Amino acid sequence: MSPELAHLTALLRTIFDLGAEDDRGSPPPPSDWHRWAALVESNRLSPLLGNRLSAGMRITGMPEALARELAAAAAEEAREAAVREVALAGLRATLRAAGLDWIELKGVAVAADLYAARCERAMTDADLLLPSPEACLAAGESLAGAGFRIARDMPGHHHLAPLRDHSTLLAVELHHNLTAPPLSPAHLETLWARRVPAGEGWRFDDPARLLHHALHIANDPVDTPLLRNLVECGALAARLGAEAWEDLERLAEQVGRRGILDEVMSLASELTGCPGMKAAPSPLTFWMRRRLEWHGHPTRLGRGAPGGEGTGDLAHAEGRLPPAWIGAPAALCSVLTLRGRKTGAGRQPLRAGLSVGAGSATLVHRTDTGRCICSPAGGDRLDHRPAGGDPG
Amino acid sequence: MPVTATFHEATLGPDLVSEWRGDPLAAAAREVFPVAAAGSPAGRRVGFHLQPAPGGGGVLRMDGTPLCSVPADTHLAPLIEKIGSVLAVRLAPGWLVLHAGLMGIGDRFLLLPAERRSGKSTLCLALARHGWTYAGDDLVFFHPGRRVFHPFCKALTLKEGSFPLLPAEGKVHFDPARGPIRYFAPEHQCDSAIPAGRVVALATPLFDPASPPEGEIRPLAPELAALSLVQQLVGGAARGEGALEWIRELCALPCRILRHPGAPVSVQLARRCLEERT
Repeated sequence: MSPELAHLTALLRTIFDLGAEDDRGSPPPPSDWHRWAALVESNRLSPLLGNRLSAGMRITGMPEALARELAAAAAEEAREAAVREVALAGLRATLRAAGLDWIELKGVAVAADLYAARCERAMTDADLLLPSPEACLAAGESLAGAGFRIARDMPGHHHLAPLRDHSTLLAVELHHNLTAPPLSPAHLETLWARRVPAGEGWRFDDPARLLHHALHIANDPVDTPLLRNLVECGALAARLGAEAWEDLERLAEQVGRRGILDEVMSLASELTGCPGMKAAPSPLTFWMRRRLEWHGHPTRLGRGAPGGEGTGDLAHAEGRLPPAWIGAPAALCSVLTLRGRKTGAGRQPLRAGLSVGAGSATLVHRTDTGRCICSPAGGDRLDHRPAGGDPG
Repeated sequence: MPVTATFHEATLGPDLVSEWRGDPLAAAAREVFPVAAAGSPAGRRVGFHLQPAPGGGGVLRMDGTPLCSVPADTHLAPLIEKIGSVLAVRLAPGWLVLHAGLMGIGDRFLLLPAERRSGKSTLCLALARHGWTYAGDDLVFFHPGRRVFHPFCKALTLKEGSFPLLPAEGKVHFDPARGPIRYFAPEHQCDSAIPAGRVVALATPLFDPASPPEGEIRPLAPELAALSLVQQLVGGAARGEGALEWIRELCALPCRILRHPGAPVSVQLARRCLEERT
């Protein structure tokens, strides 16, 4: 683990009161605060840390400008949270008036009881599970009547296209399933039975909430805050008594996801010191470990790129591969074309392709200034050539 | 509810009233949103209080929900401004919101759309000191159906560079993003709806120390004014119906760029913008 990730993880253990006391507190400051800040930013932890600084937490050696930046992020998120609270109340009232049932997931489901203040848990939308695809559509219609409009189209996902209220800017994802590939109707029914009241809404009970958090991590797109989500899993796990823990294991088996739970919780436990499960090293945990270190830092693939340029794009391209492919010898030759997306670092879109051969994989990545070829399975070879030549 | 030393009820947006309970929160809110709410509007109400911490500051709660920690009392007012502004904008369905100042003399108003850090607030301060009526230095609301503007009843917000223009005494607040901040409540503050026809001209202020000593007024072509207005429309043209039609109407007014080296030249130029019909 890099010093920056170790430092950040220790802070999070302190904040969430996780693990042994010796592992908490403010460890020696990392030498690279830029990378530390990039990890914080990419895990959407700025408001949490900023708010804790405002509440009196001290982080030894932190540059003053960075502390101010974090405090500003907390203030920004506080105003977002203020609107979100009012908008969520309106959303719940709309669904209740339509006679619909729902379960609040992810951020909305943990903001109230895992965090000291609403500004600490940044979220881009509210995720709700409806009991059936029909209920999902009915909820969509009710929300359309209340001013929500389709924000962007996402065909084939396990939720409807995100809806957004153009006044409050609250975005909502109405889920009819929890994973891709989908859970069976029977499994969904099992989970739906775990609905408990929470404030003005509904959420899963603690074991089911933790299971869904773990499933979500395994289903995560590449640009979601993995460290934060794992720490939240740790915080949820730390609340479970022995009986609830057994209940969680039974539930995971019932819905056929015990393996995923074990893999996610073994890593969460390693990071946070929370109770966990033992899992053999797997492609998923390998992939997650790599993802934890990606942001703002050259990966094994990207190390050596001029000025680190393109690192995020390499990580992005790498992360879009199904975890099971990482390190696995591929028998077939294929070329995938991945359309690069603008990354958090504001880099320009680029194209990357993956060529997989027997026992090796070659990633071709092109930027405006050049092209690099990486061969992860063959070691750390990294080759840069000027753009415009043979695409290789 | 009565207005007491430890309670302030302020109008935030067209249909939004806020309640700030307990000092130092109420005092800070009174400084930022000085116009006390009149009567009991049918709109939404949001209530805030501060759960104090021993060394100052505390946890700010909205309707009982903890929003954030405040490190010291000096951080309260800028936070109140941020939260109040975003609630005003986003809890005003049906209203269009422009990032602009609005100042008037008598029943004629000058709209001042401009980007942040362009000197809007400093110009508004100079105009307010010359007897102009203040209707906002940051946000202006417009309802296309009712055909009215609504002022944003916030005090002028001035950053450190403008402090020499203010009286020496006065509270200095701190914002982690903007640095030191002071608030100024103009003597003549408009707190009621302004019929659309009373906004007679549009001027984009441009503070430029290198401009001629007498400043200059340049006409702004309607298509460029339209582009600038779309940029300053909060939430973009998709926010509400009638946005583009409203912009078309605004572009039919005399539109100018007001380039100035500071007060008092800016005041003279603004007056010309308001008085010259074409």
